[in-house]
Amino acid sequence: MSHLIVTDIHKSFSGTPVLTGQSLQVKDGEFVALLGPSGCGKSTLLQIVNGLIPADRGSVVLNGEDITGRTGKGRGMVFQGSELMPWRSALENVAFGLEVMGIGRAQRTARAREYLHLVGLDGFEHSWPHQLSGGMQQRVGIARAFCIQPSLLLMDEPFGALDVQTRDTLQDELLRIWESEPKMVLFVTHGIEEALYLADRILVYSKRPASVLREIQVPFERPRREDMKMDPRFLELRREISELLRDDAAH
Amino acid sequence: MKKMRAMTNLLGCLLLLVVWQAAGAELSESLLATPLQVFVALNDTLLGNAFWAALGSMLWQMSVGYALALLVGVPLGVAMGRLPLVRALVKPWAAMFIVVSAAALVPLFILLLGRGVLLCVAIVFVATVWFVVTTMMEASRSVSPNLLDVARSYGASPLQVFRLVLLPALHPYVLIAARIGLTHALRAMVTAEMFISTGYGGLINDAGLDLSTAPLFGLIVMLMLLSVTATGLLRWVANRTAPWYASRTGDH
Amino acid sequence: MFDSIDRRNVLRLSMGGLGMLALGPFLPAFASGGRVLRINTLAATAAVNVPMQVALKEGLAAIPGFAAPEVQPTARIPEIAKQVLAGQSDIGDADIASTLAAAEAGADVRILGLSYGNTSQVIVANVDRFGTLAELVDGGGTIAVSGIGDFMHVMLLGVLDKHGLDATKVNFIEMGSSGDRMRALLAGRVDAVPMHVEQAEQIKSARGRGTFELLVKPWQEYDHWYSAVVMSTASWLESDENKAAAVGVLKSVLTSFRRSNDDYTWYKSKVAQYASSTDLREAGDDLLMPVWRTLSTEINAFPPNMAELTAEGVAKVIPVYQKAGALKGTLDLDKIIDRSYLELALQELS
Repeated sequence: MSHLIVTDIHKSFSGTPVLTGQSLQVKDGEFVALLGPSGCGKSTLLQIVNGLIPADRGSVVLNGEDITGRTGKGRGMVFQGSELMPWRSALENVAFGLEVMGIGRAQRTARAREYLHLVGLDGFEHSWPHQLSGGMQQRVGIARAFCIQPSLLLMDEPFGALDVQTRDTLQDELLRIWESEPKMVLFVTHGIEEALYLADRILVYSKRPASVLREIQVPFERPRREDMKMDPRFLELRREISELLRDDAAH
Repeated sequence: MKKMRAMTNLLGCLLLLVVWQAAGAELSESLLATPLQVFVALNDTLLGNAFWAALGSMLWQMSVGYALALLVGVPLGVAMGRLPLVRALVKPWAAMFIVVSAAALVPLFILLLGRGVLLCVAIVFVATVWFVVTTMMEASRSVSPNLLDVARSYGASPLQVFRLVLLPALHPYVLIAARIGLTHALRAMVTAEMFISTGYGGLINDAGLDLSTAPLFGLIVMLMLLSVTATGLLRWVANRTAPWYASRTGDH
Repeated sequence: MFDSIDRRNVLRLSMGGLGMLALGPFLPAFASGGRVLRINTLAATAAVNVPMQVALKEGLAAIPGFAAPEVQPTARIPEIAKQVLAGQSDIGDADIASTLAAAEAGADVRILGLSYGNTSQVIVANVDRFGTLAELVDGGGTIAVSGIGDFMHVMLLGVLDKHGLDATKVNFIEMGSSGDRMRALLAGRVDAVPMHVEQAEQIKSARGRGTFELLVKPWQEYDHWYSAVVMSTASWLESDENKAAAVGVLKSVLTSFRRSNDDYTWYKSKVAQYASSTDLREAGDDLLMPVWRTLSTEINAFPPNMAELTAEGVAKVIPVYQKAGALKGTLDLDKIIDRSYLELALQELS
């Protein structure tokens, strides 16, 4: 049983506190969305969990192992701008994590091919990133994260830079893939609808320094489908969260 | 598209030749030899042994200095881009030397190094290395920090970050540095040779004494062809091995 | 006596010449059993420079104990003396202006001989613009010289002064090679330039913007104008070995001068071999014969005994340099001009 325990994280940037004593937990197979206004510090929290940014205080424990301040170790990250390496083909990009782990070429290529298939990019194995559309690039980014078969998936506004149609499609794709390979997810977003649609639980953050305004258990069954966005309970929750954030912004 | 551009290039060259021919015919051979006169003179030059011996000795000496400049300049430039300490130490020197022309250094270098192979190699090195260094410094500073984060977030060690991100990201810039460096190396080499009047520079000196400008222009045309061919070759290599970069600059 | 040296030289020179042709710049590496001197010389070889080049590239190796020297061609004249003073060269074929200037600055230079006598540079002007020197000066004409303060520039200033013309009205500009100056004149960019006599001959056949005629012949203006000299440093000349080397070089130069004066056919073949410009190498008798005659007879460019090199002779032109501001005139010429090696060479040759 995997689980993530983040305890009492403090972080300031040149004297300005961004996070003050933030804690959270993720259960096995749970999809948690971190929702909050832009610049509130939720992305910083994600990067501290990822190990890219050192915390001033606090600990990150994944599956019983203290991984505070260390990268790698069973975490797959999907970045906002996909951040593919332009000198690697789609396939080689997906295999990147495995190459870092020292897995042989034949094995990593085979697995990367599998995940490229999973995100629906058969036939694009040898395409360069610059030949792919933004949506396709982010599919490769998602495949890259899934390919290392992490126990924790970290997603930092992964669809933020995409147009609405592409974003909707990719949300469905993500759900489909995740449902076939459930794992813990920390999903940073400022889209209320996106958080409600994807997550099991939503942590709504205040403006900086980020603190949890409210924790919402999303009451919808899985698998989720597009029509749930019309459900009155969905609309009600969306309105509540929206008001919550607006009130916070006004203070 | 590609054909179209080649056609425009060719047309441009032809137009230039026509204008040159007309201007040359107007001015006389001792002031501006026409392309036809240059062609005839060049033919004579190419049939002689002196040209090929001079070209050979120039190219190999230049190659040594140029190769050294790349060998030293690329790592130094990358180090300067990535390590603030190295940058602080070396940048003032780079800024100082890059503005000093080879012509200003040759007399000093003759006094220090004599006038053998060492002189030409040293001049080419000094005239080239700082262009390579600054190009590589800017290039390595411009490597996307996000890509470095990607590698680190996937648990890459510093060595892996270097090998899997920094090196491939810098690859097209190494070829750009090589291209910029080459033109400077060639220019410095000819300058040095003109000073001590040997090799290709010596041929240029001597040709400059003739009443007709045709032999001189012939030598200069050959030098230009050499430079254009070599940089074209490097560009081709860059386009073939770094298509992502070519697509960004519209070179593809 | 002269005869025997000649015969021996002919044999050696022709073999050496063949070797030079075949081996070119690699020759010093093959030379064995002889002193290899480093001799710095002007890169551009005009008609007047040919005998000196023969002396360096053929003559010296023909003298027992010497191998062909490492000839160090230098494109910029003032650099030659500098490199000798810096110890990069043993002996220089340098211009007298920079040599004397170095002496005045405290360098222990010694002038041992002449690289050629007088000067072969004449002033050619575009007479469509200015018909006479006086018109050119009064009209504020432009004259290109190879370097401000060099022997040619100073020579011109002296001429202007002698004729009571105001040199400050002339616009002097620097222009490196005589080829460039010639073209600047043809293009109508400048009004007059110094150029070698053979170039003055050639320019008559060139199509340019104007009519070009000789305005000044320096040898008619001065008893003897000094241009290029064989020089070294007192410290280098201290050892007996180097003293002998200096004598050897002068012997070789004198031999070459004498032969150039006496034997047009030989001179012509050497021009074809050593002249820098193709025009000159391939010149026919119609061009070269009058040039040779001017050089050997009219100018005395190849003085057989270098008798003109005396402290008194040089002292006569020093005021010209002083007036031009090129020298202060505080030189001890009796010390700088050291004829002792020349005397030894002349003794050995007779």
